[in-house]
Amino acid sequence: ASSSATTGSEGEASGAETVQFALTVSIAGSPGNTSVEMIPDIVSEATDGRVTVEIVEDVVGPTELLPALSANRFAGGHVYTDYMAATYPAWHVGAVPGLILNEDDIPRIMEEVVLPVMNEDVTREADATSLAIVGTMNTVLWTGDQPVPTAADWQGLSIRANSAFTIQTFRAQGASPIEMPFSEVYGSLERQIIDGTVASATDIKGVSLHEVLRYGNFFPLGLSSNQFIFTNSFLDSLSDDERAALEEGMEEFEEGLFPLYQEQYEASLAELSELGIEMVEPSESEVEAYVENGQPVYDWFASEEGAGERGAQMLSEIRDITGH
Amino acid sequence: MPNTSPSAAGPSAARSRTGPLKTAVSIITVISRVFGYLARAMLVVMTVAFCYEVVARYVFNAPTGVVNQLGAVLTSMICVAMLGIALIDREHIRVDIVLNRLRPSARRWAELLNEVFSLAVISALFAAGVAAVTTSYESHVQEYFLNIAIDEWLILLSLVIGFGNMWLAQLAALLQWFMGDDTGAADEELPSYAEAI
Amino acid sequence: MEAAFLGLGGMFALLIVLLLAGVRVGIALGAIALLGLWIGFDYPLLDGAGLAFFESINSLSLTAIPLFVLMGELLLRAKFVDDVYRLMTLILQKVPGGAAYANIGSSVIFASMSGSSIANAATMGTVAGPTMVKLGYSKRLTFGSIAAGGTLGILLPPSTVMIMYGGMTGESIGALFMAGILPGIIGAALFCLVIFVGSLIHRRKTGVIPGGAFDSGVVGERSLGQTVVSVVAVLSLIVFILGGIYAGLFSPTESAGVGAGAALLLGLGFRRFNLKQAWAAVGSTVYVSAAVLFIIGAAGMFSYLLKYLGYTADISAWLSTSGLPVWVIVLLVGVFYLVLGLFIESTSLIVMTIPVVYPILSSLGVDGVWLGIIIIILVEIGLITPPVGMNLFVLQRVKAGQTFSDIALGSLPFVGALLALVVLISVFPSIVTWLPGLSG
Ligand code: NA
Ligand code: NA
Repeated sequence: ASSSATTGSEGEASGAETVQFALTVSIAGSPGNTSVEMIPDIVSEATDGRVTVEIVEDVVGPTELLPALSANRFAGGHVYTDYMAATYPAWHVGAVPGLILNEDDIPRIMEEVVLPVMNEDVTREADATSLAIVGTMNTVLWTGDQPVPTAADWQGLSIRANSAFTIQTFRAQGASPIEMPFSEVYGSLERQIIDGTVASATDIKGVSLHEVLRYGNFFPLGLSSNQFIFTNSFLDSLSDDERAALEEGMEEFEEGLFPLYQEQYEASLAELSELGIEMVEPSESEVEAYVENGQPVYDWFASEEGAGERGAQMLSEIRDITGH
Repeated sequence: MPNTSPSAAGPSAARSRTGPLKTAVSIITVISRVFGYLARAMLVVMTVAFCYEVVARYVFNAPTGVVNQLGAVLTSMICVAMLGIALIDREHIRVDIVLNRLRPSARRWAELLNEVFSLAVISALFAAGVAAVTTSYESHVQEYFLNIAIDEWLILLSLVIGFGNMWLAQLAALLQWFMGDDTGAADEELPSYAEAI
Repeated sequence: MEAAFLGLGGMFALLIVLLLAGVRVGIALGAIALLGLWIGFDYPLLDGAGLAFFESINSLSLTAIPLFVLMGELLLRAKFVDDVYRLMTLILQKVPGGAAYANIGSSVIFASMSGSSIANAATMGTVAGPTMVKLGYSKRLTFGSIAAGGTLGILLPPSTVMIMYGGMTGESIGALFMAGILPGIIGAALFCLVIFVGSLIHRRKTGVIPGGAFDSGVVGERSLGQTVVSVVAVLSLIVFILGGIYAGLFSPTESAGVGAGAALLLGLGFRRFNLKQAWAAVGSTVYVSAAVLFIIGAAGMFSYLLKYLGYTADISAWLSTSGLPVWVIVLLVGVFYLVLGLFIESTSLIVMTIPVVYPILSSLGVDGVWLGIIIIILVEIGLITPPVGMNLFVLQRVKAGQTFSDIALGSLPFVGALLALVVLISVFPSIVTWLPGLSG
């Protein structure tokens, strides 16, 4: 398994080759893993078996993917925007509190507002293209000892944070963000060094966090997304037919993902309930209070430390779509 | 045996010929030792911080929540700050059981080979550090230090400085070899525990 | 598949050659990692390797290493171990072979305040070695029991090796600490059994059972009362630190910080050292920590190379379809450690093998904490087997007329005891899993 990224020999689509696709965060049974496992078949089908994709797990972290793609270490890779919030705050626009409340708006927001910005970054940083992107609203505030039924209950909670974005979000609610790597979350919850953490429902079981959590609190923490990126040099190495077939295959793949992720989300919630985690649904007025408290995040997002001018632009475009 | 220099040699003989080399070695040693004192200070800060955190949690009921981050950063800084002086004082872990059985002259040549090889590897480590900083600079990755966002490349710069210091220290070791004093500058007071590990 | 075995085999062979040539461990690991990246890949991976080094040392778990080393360093300089040893020999003076048992007992106590086996052996060697030889104990029994007792340093918490293992694998360090307690105590009991049998053999040869003959002067310049008070203080510190982790009062790292702080106060309070000497303890701590962390950083690069090569995944995939029972694989891994342990020093052995062994065995369903304890005991065996056995080396420096072969041969029966411990834990895994299970 030595050199396997493409060397970018243009238009040459003759001999068989093996390329690597990076899974930056591998969690058994998560939507990310499930969907990345489909990539080899899509590529193989598009190239009539000429190109074999090998999935490489956990070799590069999320923030290292674009540099690695730019160095042609991989033909492509998958990232969760959650893990990219530190580097690309703009990608996280969907998580600004209360910005997106209706799931039906997601595809249009992704397509018209978020994707162009992401692709701008991906092209600039890595000379690559996102061939599929899907937004999910699976993120939940998980707590150990205290349920969080009201917006006021966020007050004083210590919550694990992993980016300036999450720090702003939690501070706006009066909570204390504590920055720590993911590997420390389990132990810190167990010893009550933190009260809770924000994570996708689909990831909890895979990393055994259910053992140290008791409540899932359903505030609208917003949209996160999965991106499937290919380097332009890989795409250029395909014949025109192969490339068209791959783009089509990825489009179909993308369409199938949203329902698949929703299905996995529902299944995860059911499984976690069975494991004894209590699901706490805040009332409508509490959700409103949460959104109200989150207003400072808008200003931060549109500021220099946030996503800057692009951030302001995105916010207004999304508001045009959602109408609130 | 780990880290121990053979019986301490007297001051270097051919002093007149090796004057400039000796100055270079002294300068490198002083720089490295300053980093060493920085590392000691960081260890003290870290110890105090952890004690304070526990007291703050149980007595004042007001933990800072940033001590873990501080500890992780300081631990890595202690390591990079010590890379050079640990090399000069022969404190990096090695097994010299085979070397100890060689005749003194053979051992001396083996040590030369070792020092040259190490200098090459440390050059590569330095290059890796520079590459990490460059990539990080270009990709705008941010880290959090005491909950303040900071560009990762700035933190990684410490690695480059540490490896650079280690490279100089290795150069000094090589120079010392040529000066006929390859026993290293034994640190004044390193008791059994530190020597033992 | 063959590529994975050949590649890994080649890398390990080269590593062993470099280590035996006297190349510093971190340099050797870094050389393999960078050479592998250079040869194996036609694109630059240097930046990733640099990042891997930094991320390996910039870890919340490893913060505990300098803090625990500092705690051990301070307690050592306060000479509390001497008190413990004196008190134990006083209590055991009527028991045949008493000083040897006191030796193991003191090692247990010292192991509970320090994270290093080598420090443990070095300290007990100085404290007990010459005295025991003077009292007529055979050199083999004396230094064998000290070398063996010393190995408990990494099995009983706190343990730098456990912190490294936890840091590299993501296993809970608190759980590893708890898991080491019972095996550590059972190991100490097995050592006592070896001493008992050894004393009987010694009597058959010489007609005397050594021991007993300590005079009251053993307590030294301090009165019995003072000695008891300081021993009680140190025991309280140990109970506080380990109990605090166990009860969830603080994380292992915090306990290390608190332990270092408390050790400073104890040492100053009992007037065992002044601030200047405490500052010297800080000095030796940073050397030790940097030496260990440098190796961990280099191992991070090595591990990065391995992930890129995919060898470990290939081997686990092959093993899981090979139909070999897991216990056979574990047994093979055990033999692998015993063989490597003959030649490789403990820290290097852990950091160079864990990135290979852990992912393979955990993918086969082996419990990570149990595996950690087994590996630590196997590494302990390496500490007391020639040609490269760090505990043997440090004891060679104690001046009591012993030869290297006295120490190595004296340690041999204790190797048997540690192997028996490995078998016990394999047959009854609950020896390891019971205690951490209670606290979780
Ligand atoms: Na210990
Ligand atoms: Na050995």
